[in-house]
Amino acid sequence: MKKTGLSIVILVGCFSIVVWLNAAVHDVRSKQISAEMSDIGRVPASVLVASSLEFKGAMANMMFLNASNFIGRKLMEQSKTLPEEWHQFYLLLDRITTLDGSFLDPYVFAEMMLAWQAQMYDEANMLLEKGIKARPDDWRLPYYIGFNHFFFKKDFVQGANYIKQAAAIDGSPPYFPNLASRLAFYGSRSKTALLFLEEMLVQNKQIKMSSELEKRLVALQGAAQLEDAAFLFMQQQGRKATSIDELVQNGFVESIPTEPYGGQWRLHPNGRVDSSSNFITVEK
Amino acid sequence: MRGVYAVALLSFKEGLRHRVLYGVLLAALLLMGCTVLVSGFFLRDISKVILDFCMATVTLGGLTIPFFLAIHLLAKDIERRTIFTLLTRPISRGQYLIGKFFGLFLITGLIMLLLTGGVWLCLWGGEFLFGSRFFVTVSWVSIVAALFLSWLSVLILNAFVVLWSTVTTSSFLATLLTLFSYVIGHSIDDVVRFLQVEVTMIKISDSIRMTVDVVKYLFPNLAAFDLKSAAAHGLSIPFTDVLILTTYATAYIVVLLVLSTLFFNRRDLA
Amino acid sequence: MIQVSQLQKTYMSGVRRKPTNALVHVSLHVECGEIFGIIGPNGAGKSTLLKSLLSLVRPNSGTIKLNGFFPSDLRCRQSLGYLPENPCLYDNLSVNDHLIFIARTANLKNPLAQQRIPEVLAMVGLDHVRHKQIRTFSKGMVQRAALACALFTQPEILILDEPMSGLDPLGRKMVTDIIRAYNDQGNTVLFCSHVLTDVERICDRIAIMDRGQLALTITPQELLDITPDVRGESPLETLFVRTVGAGGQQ
Ligand SMILES: Nc1ncnc2c1ncn2[C@@H]1O[C@H](COP(=O)(O)OP(=O)(O)O)[C@@H](O)[C@H]1O
Ligand SMILES: [Mg+2]
Repeated sequence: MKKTGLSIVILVGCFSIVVWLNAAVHDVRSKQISAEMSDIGRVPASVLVASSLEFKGAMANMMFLNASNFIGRKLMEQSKTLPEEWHQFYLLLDRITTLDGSFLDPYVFAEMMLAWQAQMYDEANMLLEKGIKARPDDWRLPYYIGFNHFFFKKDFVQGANYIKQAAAIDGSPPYFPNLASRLAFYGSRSKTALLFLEEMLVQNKQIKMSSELEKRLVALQGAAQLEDAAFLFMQQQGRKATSIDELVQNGFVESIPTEPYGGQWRLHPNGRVDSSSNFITVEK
Repeated sequence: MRGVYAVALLSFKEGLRHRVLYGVLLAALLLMGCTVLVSGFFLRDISKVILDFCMATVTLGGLTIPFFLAIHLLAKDIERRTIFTLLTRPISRGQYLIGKFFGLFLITGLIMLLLTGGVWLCLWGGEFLFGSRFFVTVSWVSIVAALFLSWLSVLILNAFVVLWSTVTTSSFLATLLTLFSYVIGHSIDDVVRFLQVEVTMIKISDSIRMTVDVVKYLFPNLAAFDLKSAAAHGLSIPFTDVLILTTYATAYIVVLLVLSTLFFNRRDLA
Repeated sequence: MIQVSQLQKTYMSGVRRKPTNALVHVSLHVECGEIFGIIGPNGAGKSTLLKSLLSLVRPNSGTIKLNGFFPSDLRCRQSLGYLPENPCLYDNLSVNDHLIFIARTANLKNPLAQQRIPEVLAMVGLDHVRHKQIRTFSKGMVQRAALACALFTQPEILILDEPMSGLDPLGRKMVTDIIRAYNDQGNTVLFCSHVLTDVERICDRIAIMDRGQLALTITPQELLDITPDVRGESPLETLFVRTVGAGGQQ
């Protein structure tokens, strides 16, 4: 009995030490992790495929967890991700999609991170093309590519083509055919972009908005509001507005919407509104 | 104390006579030899490549102890009733478990020390073949520190074998549970990090968070003991880190051994 | 001296925790210098009783005293020798290694141990294979080696579980001789068997065990009064069949 009591005291004591040191041990690893993480992508795809034996799916999952940790830490530390690191990240996603082509998460990640955060549109599209081959019945993948073409690369014809491709797949939103034609027609109007972005958010409800996406949404809402006002101005006044201020003075907008990227709104003669920031965060 | 010493020595002897060990040693040394040759295919970081492979081999060699030998020395000992020879002597069950653990402690130490000698040979061979300019970053202090930590993590697994052998009645189950502990121990830290940053922007339910919070205290953070790649790059490993990890491992091993004793004292060895 | 009173043991086996009553209110008293034999059919609970004495099995209730100590007290094991039923030794070690281990636990100095090892090996007839690994032994040789382990420290109490099983006739005679010689030095021997002739020849007292209970205890003198039911049967056999058979009919 006495011995059991002593054992329990030792047990509790040592377990307290374990719990107490938990955070310190976690920190020990934090120092090491960055060197470790980015190396996986360097392994040639064929070697990786061969050495994963019959555990390719599991391997892909582990690598994906690694990749998302890597990026997540960067976001959390708010340290700037270097182009080299983004390239590593791209390589990692490429290996993951080679190991398990039907794995949807890396494609979503490619769109959310490579296209949105890293501005690596071509790389993102390359991965998504791989996805289209592996998941031909998934309308999201051509939709993402179309989105990238339209939204980032301002290639409206290509964008419309991919949206058409997405529209042909079962389960795609019913207004896609309409969107595709409108895209081809209006091209660059902010309203189309806004619609597009809102659809993107609806599609990814379970995904928390990244700050980048949120910013872009606010910016587009502002631009669309101003464009609508400019359109109204022309209809009512019979002439084009010359500046944003003119719209405000005549009461077409109550106040100038905020520009989250920190630039100045610009009204173009064709009725388009954009910003001096080009919707890229202005470095301080 | 005398009992612990006698049991430790007997299991050390018994373990060393086991054939698995010689197979492992031979395979490991062969693997290391190949490494030196293969490292010639790389351009710059020859010493890093050699060290990466060699230290992985040392750890693999160490891991064969908990997964093959320790199971044989503990779970099989209880299963086949060879344990009677020990427990009918003036040796308590706690002394038996601690003695067995120290036997494993010695065997693991010996094997990993021999393999560390292999690392030294490989580096020497590499320097001879490719020239010493590729080996300027090699830091023996870091290498030894990394391998020491690797040894500690293997010791934690040995303690897990002790625990699982006392709570289960079959050696197969004990192996399986040890494997489980190994996998959880190596991935729990990544999961914790994953939850900390919410990278994929996926909302994670509170129940999962709570489970992870409990598991991260129950299972050891084995991934933290892996400083091999730092050592391979010739980076220095802070002494305080080694100290923290050593204390952590020691406390964790004591927890496992005491827990095993409490379980084992209640068990019938019919 | 072995005192056992009101010992009870119920095994819980399997996932369903199915209970088996292995010992039911067993009380027993073995005097110093006695040879006490327990006989009983398979599954009677003999091994369970002996294992409780070494605290390998924890009884549910009842008390055991060995020379005045509880079995869980490490001090009493210093003067205890035990031969398990179907003994199993470490395959990769030799008898010599086993005996050195035992010497170490008994705090025996090395020169003394070196002197004792050949002695005890000669007693069990294994002196020619002292350094051979156990894996090369036959079943009977393992039994002898285990007996050597039990005898090594010259314990005051020797507990043997089926010591004759697996041995050739010469081996059986050897065990009987060892038990006798050992007893002549004033030590206590408690052993069990299901082979009656082994027991009849050497015991000072014999207990018959059946389904977890000690049915009766008898001395060889008392056996002489029993007339066999069948011609050619030994008195003990008759008594055994009567006791166990009667129990079976109930
Ligand atoms: N580990 C165990 N688990 C469950 N039941 C057991 C166990 N060991 C023995 N028993 C049961 O206890 C009873 C007595 O067994 P035992 O003492 O070995 O008998 P004996 O040695 O007289 O042949 C038997 O019915 C047996 O089935
Ligand atoms: Mg038996």
